[in-house]
Amino acid sequence: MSGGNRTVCGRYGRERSGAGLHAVCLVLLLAFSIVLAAHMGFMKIPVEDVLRIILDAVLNRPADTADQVARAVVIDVRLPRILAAGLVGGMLAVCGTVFQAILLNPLADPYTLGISSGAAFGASLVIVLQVLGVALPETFTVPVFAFGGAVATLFMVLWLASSGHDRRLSSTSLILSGVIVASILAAAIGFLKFLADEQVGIIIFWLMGSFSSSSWESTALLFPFAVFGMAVAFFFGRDLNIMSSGERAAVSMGVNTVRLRYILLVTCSLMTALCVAVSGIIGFVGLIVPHMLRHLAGPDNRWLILLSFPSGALLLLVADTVTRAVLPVEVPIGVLTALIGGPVFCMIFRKKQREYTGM
Amino acid sequence: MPVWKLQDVSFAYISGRKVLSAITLKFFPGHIYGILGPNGSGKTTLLDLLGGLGAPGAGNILYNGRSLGDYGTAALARRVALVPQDFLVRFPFKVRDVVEMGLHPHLGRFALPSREDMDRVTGIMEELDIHGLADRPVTMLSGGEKQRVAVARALVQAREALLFDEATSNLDIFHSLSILDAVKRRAVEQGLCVVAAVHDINLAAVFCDELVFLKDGMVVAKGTPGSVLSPELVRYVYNVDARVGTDEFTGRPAVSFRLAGSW
Repeated sequence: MSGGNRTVCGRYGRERSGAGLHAVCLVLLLAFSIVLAAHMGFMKIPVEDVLRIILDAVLNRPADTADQVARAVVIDVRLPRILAAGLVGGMLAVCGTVFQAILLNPLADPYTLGISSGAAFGASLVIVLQVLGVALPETFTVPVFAFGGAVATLFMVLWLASSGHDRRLSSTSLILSGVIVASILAAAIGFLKFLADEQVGIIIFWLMGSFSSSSWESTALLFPFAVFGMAVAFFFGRDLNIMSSGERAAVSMGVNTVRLRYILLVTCSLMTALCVAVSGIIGFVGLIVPHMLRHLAGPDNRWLILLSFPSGALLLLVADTVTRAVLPVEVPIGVLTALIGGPVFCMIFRKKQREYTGM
Repeated sequence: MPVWKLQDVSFAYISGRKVLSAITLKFFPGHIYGILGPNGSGKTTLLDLLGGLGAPGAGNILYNGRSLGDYGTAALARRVALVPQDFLVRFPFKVRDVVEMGLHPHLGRFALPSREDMDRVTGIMEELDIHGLADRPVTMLSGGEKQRVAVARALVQAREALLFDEATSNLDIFHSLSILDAVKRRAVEQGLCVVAAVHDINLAAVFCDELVFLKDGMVVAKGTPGSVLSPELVRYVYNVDARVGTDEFTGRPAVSFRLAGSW
């Protein structure tokens, strides 16, 4: 008996340090990718110069005059874009992990609930208003309108989902409501494109997702909410694990499931809205990252939340660097992630179907 | 003092369909209660109300002398555990992790289980014969194995009372009996109050101290198996012909059935 006990503890020790090792590797890999991404581009800047420029900036040291151009490229052009891509990737991945845990569905991510469409609608509205001659300060209004759109969509979806017998917001009714609202919003965005007339290109390009206009303001906007969202998600990590045994069992184990859903859905809507405001619609990051991590580190949501941020950041940073510095033409990042993520989505869907019929 | 005291409890869905009406019952510590009745008679709803998963439309429920509604979700979960009818975990958690989930209401938010907690989990897993499955993903288990995991999780959690919703329906005889035996031991030794919805009248007669028969949301009979079981009651509740005798082997009342009017 004591032998069995020891193996159980040993297994636990191994597993936890295994996930911890993943975390350390991911963070190192992420740091390496940031430097590499800053090195790559139209103008190749040697890695040691990149490191020195970043170090100078961090320590607030005056730089050599010879370096001024390289410094401007790294600090003013590349780093803001790199950090924005990383933060958006990380936040989308955390949102995906949380949505999948709440909806008990490995196919869920911010898009399944229509929240990104809502945010996109809010942000498109700002662009159209500008085209129509209503001048609004863009850096401030786009995120606010995106959040407004996301939250309005969320409550619309929740209202639809809770209108029947089912006061407890089952995952089926949530996803179905999300699809309904998203399809209405798609039509509404189409109408905005029509209104935008000759300026329609701006909306289309932005909806496809891009980091080409990211600035230090984007990072300043995203960073506090990334930290906040991670903290909230991690705080409820164990509750999310318990949610996986279903509504009734979770309540009987002491989880206030309704409150948990509202808190996490609003937090993730906020994160999604900010991501959309900064970079347009970038799909499938929130879907793929938790799915891959579950194979690597197991289903424990506490680890998944911690690991999904650096993984999502790494994924989107690499994808953005590929479109920016490797491909001959800059493909919109949303198109690239959809082209890679779509087939993965199909594979997960097939596998899920097989598992259900197999049972 | 009873663990639960129900006074004129009624429950209806929003659609207006009445599921329970005027239920007055008491459940005492150290006893095993079997809730019996045909499909749709309100057994699961009654367990939901006892577990705080819904509030009665009328009447009141006291838990340890205090209104059940005054307990928070977590406070009630530290006292009462539920074994649901279909326990389904959607992600491939390992069996041991699922059983440990029963510790959730007892642990601080960021606390890890103590040595004693771990021993308690191991002990219960051995008792229910799932220790060998500890590292298996719970999604890959058979129906009966899943049900044993659900019971183990609930035994880890329960400190005062246990609600069983058809928790032995997927199990073979050996595992049914060993689960009921583990539960019985806790009732006798630790004063656990057990309320179990069961379909098998004979199993209930062997293990329960008292039986409660529901029909159309009302209590039609309650009492010890020996006093309450009669052919008339079984015919009234289930609409089948029955013979009630005493089983020589177990020494408990036993019921055999046939469809009314058939050969």
